[in-house]
Amino acid sequence: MRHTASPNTMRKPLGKRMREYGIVYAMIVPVIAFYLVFAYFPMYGIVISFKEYYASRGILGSEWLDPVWKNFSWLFEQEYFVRALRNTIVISLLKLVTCFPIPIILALFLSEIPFRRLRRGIQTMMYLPYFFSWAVIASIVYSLLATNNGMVNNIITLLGGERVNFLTEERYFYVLLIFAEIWKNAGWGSVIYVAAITNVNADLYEAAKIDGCSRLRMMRSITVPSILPIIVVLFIMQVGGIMNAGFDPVFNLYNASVYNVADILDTYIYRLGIGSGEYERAAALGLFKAVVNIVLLLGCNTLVKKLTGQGMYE
Amino acid sequence: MMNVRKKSGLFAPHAFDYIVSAVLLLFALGCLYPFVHMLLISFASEGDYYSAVTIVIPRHFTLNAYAFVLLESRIGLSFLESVLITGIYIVYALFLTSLGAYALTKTQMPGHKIFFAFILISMFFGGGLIPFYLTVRGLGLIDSWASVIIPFGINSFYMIILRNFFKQVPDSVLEACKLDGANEFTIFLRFVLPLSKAALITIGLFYLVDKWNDWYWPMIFINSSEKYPLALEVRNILSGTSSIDYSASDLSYRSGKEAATIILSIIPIAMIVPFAQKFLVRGVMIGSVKE
Repeated sequence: MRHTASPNTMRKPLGKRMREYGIVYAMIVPVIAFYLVFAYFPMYGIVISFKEYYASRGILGSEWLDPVWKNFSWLFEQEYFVRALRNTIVISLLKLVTCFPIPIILALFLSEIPFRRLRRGIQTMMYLPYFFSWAVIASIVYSLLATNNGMVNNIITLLGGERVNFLTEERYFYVLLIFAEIWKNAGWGSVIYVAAITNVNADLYEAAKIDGCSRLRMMRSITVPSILPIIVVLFIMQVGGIMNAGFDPVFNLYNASVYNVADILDTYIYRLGIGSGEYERAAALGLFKAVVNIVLLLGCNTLVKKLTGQGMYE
Repeated sequence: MMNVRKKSGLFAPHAFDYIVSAVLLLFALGCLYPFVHMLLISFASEGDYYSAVTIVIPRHFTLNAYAFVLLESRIGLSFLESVLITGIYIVYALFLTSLGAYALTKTQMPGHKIFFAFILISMFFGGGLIPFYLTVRGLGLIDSWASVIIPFGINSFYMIILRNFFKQVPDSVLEACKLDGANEFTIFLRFVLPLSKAALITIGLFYLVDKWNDWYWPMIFINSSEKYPLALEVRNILSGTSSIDYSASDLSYRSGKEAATIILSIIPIAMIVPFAQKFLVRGVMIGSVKE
């Protein structure tokens, strides 16, 4: 957002310009109040991670810890913390190599379908799961995979195999998670790429047709290069969000027997804070995550700016 | 979709098109089937369910599962409560969000940059779960429906999308209003909002889906099971912590009752989304436009 005030308005004194917008200032009072209470006050609340917090004494009245970073040193020694950090990174990377490219591939081929109504039907069906909650998605996954009359296990026994308890075995967790992710999000994830493909100059295809290009060749040499900028931006954003492996899917699909491979930072914060009531330690972990996140995001924003001449958020 | 049509018009359909269509159709049906599976289970008798190997065919079609869920458990009530919570939430969130979004279009307003930074910072950095929880608790909202409505009045991403929509209202309209002596609030109320109906529907739909599906914040903020919204009831089936006795012996069976609950929770969205697809897609596209 560049400041684009014309020289004319610039010359007016500040007070006069502010009076012109008096009502707009009044309009944003509730908005500012909302952000102060629900975004900025919680930011201030982070200080409890350096304190011995008593609700009765409030944040200000609670004593500072000695040393103040006590919760952090405790945290970094926890085996569970290391495990959660490792799982977070592993799951994010897995999603990057599987869940990231699939919407692109879907969009590329969707745009090739010449039957308009069929294409719309396919889109509607594959967008749908995105709009249901992870609780619903996971419930259905549980039902399909149940050892007792679940469809998948029924098929396995039909083929002469043994029933498998997919939900409690560590080695199946990632497969399960990735499958569910693709089912829920891949279709809707293609929307942005379909839009980008729609904007590719149709003359390019005409010319290629005259040159005798095949459809796949056009896809490779025209479509993909045309949408590459948006792919790069989304890729970098994905990398920037590596600390967010996704609370919802993990929380709804995991259980105690797979914590070893499934527990991520967000689920650990939840169990520590809400589950065990260790507010200060959970807040400390939250702060750690937020700091790493912002460093990654700002780094990525700079990178995007360098590549495209424009940041992601301005 | 112009170019797609033009581009595909270049070719008479041939083998390539049929193969691509078939593969994608298969994927799409794969996405849809699990929901159909649950729907079939919800209508099937216990015998139908246990004799089925793959596709459950409700030979003895029954509504017993729905009778139990709607009449003998509190699911029917929680459905209505979810409608109420979602409805109130949409009005509240749209009100706050559009106020902020309108102010964000005023790029020449002194303090615009500060206001924008104020919002941007909160998108990059936040207090995290626990300080947020303590804030809501400190306000005395715990265990009330207000706890899942009031703290979620603005989604900053949606606000920026809405701002991009508002920016499409032609400046000439705004200038004309100003010359007529209308103040900013009147312009906002009488011109910008009515001209941005499609935008408000789009953002309203995003808020609707978010709130209808929200099980997480109710799980954290609401303690009394008689106040659980439907989405949380679904989550509680999954975690095995439901206060509803799905194994109660009556005409229906456990899996059928659970399936009926899941189906009830997805019906409103499943009915809205296909028709609202145009709006939702446009929301994503406007959201990806940078200025």
